[in-house]
Amino acid sequence: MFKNITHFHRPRTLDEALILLKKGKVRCHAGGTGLIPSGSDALEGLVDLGGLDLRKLRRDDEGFHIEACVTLADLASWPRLDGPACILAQAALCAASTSLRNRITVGGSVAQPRPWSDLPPALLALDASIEVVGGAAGLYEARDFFARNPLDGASIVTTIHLPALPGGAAFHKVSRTRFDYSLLDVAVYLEVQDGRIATARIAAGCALPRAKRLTEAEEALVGRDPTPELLRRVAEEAPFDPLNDMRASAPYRKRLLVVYLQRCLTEALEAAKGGTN
Amino acid sequence: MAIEITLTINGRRKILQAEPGESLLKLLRKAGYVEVKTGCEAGDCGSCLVLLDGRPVNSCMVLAPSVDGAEVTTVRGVGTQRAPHPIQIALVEAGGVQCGYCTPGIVIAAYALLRSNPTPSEREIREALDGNLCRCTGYEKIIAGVRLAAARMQEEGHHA
Repeated sequence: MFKNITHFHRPRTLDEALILLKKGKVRCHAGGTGLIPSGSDALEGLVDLGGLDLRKLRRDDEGFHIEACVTLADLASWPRLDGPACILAQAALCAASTSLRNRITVGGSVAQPRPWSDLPPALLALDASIEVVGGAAGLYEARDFFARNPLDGASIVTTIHLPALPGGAAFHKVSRTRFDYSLLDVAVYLEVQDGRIATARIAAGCALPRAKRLTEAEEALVGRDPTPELLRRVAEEAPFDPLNDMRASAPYRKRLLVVYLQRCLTEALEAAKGGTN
Repeated sequence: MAIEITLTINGRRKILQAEPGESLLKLLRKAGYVEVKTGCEAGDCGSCLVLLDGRPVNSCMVLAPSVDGAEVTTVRGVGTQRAPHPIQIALVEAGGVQCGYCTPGIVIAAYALLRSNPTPSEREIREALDGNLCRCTGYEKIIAGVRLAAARMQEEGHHA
């Protein structure tokens, strides 16, 4: 597994953890589910984040605050995660098996996002911010964070912040079984004002090397009257250049996007109008 | 350099020496808990499931030093050959055990389910067992076994 690991550090404070990380040849350990299969021989030590008290979920007027060591199981069953943000619970619930969701952390899913990870599309649509301490300290917008992972080896993701949102959201994952690696994930957030779309965020993942916003499709929606015809046309015309791999061909994924983006747009619009999220 | 960790395994405190990069699965088997089965060692098959502080986890995907102080329940903590748990009896009766290799993991997953939800729907049973692979039974008999166990435990007022 880890042939050359000689130290398993258990810091009690973030400062202690950051000092350990600066020394190099070590990595953060939280749930371990992403780290263990990688089993790198180059590593000499692990810095366990389990003792840092990063397991809190908090909601206030600004929104939702999810600390890095919260597991996907705890996130999915958090009763206060409501409104459009409930698509994050939906994504967490289909991200892996029951037993793995008891170990996979939100921070790990963000710090080390895999192409098949289900959380990034939902975080992008919800306009999440990612709080980092250490060398790359800062509060990052999800779109910047996922476009170019800013983490150096001496940084720790501490909290994911979701704003309280007034609109509607929808999320769909397309996979052979509920938690199999996805062929495509789509997440949409819409706000409607005076009968027109005021805000649109569309994100796709799992069909791409990294999850991203489909900004051209968003721009085609804003300021327009959200007729079924418009939603269909935007879904059909959304520029999208998906992966071609053993799970699905690129043309098939493109077809999936048309269907599931239209579905997500329709559902998000309903939710935005009726406040049903 | 081995690290000393304390675990409460099936109700008994144990002090064990873990390597810094060692999985909980390897540590448990080394300490004689061979009822925890090694399967894929990639978190996919569920044969190494144990309860960690009451929740089912793939012990192959847990680094032993990270769970110092935790409570671990293996299938022997649920029931033994002499005193089998109703889940184990029902799985045998329903034909949910063939080669038996996946069974310890299945029993742990079912036990965790019935403890939090004594009257699960079929869908809830399927979801609770979604991390367990079985290459013999085709799953139907396993689901039937868990349903049978749930029904009997309700009748008899037995809590998982």
